[in-house]
Amino acid sequence: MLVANRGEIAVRIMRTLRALHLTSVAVYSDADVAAPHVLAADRALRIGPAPARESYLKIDAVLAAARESGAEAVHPGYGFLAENPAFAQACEDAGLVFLGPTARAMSALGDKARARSQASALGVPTIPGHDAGTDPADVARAARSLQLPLLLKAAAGGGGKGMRKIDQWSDLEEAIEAAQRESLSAFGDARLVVESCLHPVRHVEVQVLGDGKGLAVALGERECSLQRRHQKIIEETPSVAVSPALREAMCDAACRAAASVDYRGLGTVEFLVDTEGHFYFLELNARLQVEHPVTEWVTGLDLVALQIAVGEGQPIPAEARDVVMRGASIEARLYAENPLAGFLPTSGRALEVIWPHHPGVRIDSGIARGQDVGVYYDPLLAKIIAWGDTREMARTRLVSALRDTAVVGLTTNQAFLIDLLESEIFKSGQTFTHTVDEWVGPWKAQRPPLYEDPAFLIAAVLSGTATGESRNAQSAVSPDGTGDPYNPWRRQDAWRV
Amino acid sequence: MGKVTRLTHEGHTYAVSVDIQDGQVTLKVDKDGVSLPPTDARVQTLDPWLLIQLDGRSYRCLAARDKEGVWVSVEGRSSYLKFKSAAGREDHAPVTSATDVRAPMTGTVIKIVVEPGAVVAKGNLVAAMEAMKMEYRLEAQMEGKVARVLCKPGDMVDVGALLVELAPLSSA
Repeated sequence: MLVANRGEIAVRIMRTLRALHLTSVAVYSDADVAAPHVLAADRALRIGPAPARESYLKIDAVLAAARESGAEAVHPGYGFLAENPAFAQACEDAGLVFLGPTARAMSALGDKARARSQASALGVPTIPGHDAGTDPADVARAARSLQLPLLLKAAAGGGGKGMRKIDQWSDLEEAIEAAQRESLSAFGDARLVVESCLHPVRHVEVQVLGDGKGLAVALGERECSLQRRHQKIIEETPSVAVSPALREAMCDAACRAAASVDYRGLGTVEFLVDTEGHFYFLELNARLQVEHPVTEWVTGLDLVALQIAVGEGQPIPAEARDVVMRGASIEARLYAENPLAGFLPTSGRALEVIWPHHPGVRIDSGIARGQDVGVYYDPLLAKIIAWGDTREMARTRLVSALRDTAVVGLTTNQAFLIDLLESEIFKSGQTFTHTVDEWVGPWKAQRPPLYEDPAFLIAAVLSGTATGESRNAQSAVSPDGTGDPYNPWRRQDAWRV
Repeated sequence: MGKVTRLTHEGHTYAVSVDIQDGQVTLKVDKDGVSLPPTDARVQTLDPWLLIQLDGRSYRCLAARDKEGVWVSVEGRSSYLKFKSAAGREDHAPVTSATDVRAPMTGTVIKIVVEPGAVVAKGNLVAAMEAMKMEYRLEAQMEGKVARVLCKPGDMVDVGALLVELAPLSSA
């Protein structure tokens, strides 16, 4: 199987392939010659230079790699070509099993504009708005028929790319231009949808799995309200805002939407939920979602393995049809970005990368020590996902895991994640899509000054000494002075853990 | 007092010395020339961490140096401290002036919407950049006249690169 992606998701997919004893093939650009996903695969083939448009987004190059490697199936991951119907079609034409929905289902539901009308036809509530097309004048006219604030979205895709919030009419023309350029760059399509901006709302989505023959099952919901720049940073299941009755209604609506197009494979039906418990259909994402691990934690299922089974034409297995949810799970996304500077992406070299090995904690990482984080791709470095019997246990496990994580050499959002998870807002479940934007200002102001943290300065100074060379420090003299001759950390030979 | 390491962080200068004896350390800090009370701590290694015990709590720390400074991570919070060079030359602390429109991150310039001589108001869009497929608006930090445009669409620029220079209106 060829994995047409990079980073953490490619590594995660290859883990399942290995568990299923399937041979994995990676593709890589010149920027990723020794990236973790290349090392995780059985084989790896170069598909082009660093820019995504010349490599990971290039259908011909990916198909040529599939042919050369003799792959029988293609997993697109998320982003890049994952929701491109032309790619799905090209795979089918080349006789490759495409691990995703059919090109037809994708065109019908992956497209925001068509999905809106499809959902209305099924009686699923949608947000007031219009499919506005490509002409900037038409988009502006459609926008002005709604009340401010409103949202511009790329009709062709999700993930927040091409999305712009309009608070004042004077920003409209510039925002249309920017949204179209971003949409064109990410999806090769400039069509926009305009929608009213509901407030306050939560973002809650339902995981579905379809067999391609009209049967679709729901695997519970995920709440992903905590976002910045329209991109999620913390996700959890179950949602504190979803009652059993609401869950049933949302899961039912999600299954109807998926079944109506004979949906095959994994999909996510996204909704907004207001404070009165009304829900509105947003879109169907025809892919494995970034936040899928929280669903895996509470269901015990391997969603990638299910995708493969359904892709091979097998019926939906019993354990997915009668899914039993247990406990709660929360995911935090570690990004190369600076929360102190508008969450702008950062770049640099990962000088040290340390992950925790805690019970109930899973790490999906696409970064390794010594790797350069560049400007070409998504700044997601890794996901840290915790499970607990209760939401509170999952939360404290996640915080403790983040405290025992170190990615040094570039600025990340790690401290921001810890503080957000420790905030009263998160503890009490008062999470809405605007929460992060409002919270980040006070958070910046309340950070303690550096000199109040002596550990910081001690570690900085000792980093130049034998004591401070903590990593690979087995040969350093133990500073505790106890002289334990059996302490494995004091051995001078090449013994490794 | 042991060897003094001079570090800068968020505009402050720290002259730091650490005396270490049998895992017992004393930290002395001069912040911007003012001495802070010394701190006693205990240091041990627990691979890969450096454990620093302060006031009965243990902190897991990790530090890695590059040419210009040191990255330190303490209990999941990391930051970069720059070495202050002996020659007294300041570190690259951003001498940001409101006249400068600089790249906020490494990326590609996608457009420049002003030309030399154009007058801009504070908050006006000057240029746009793209990094990791997201687009960022660069706005004028002051009212002024565009003095110089130092980049063009398609240029790959480093973080901090000067893209557009403004001049105050009075001098125009």
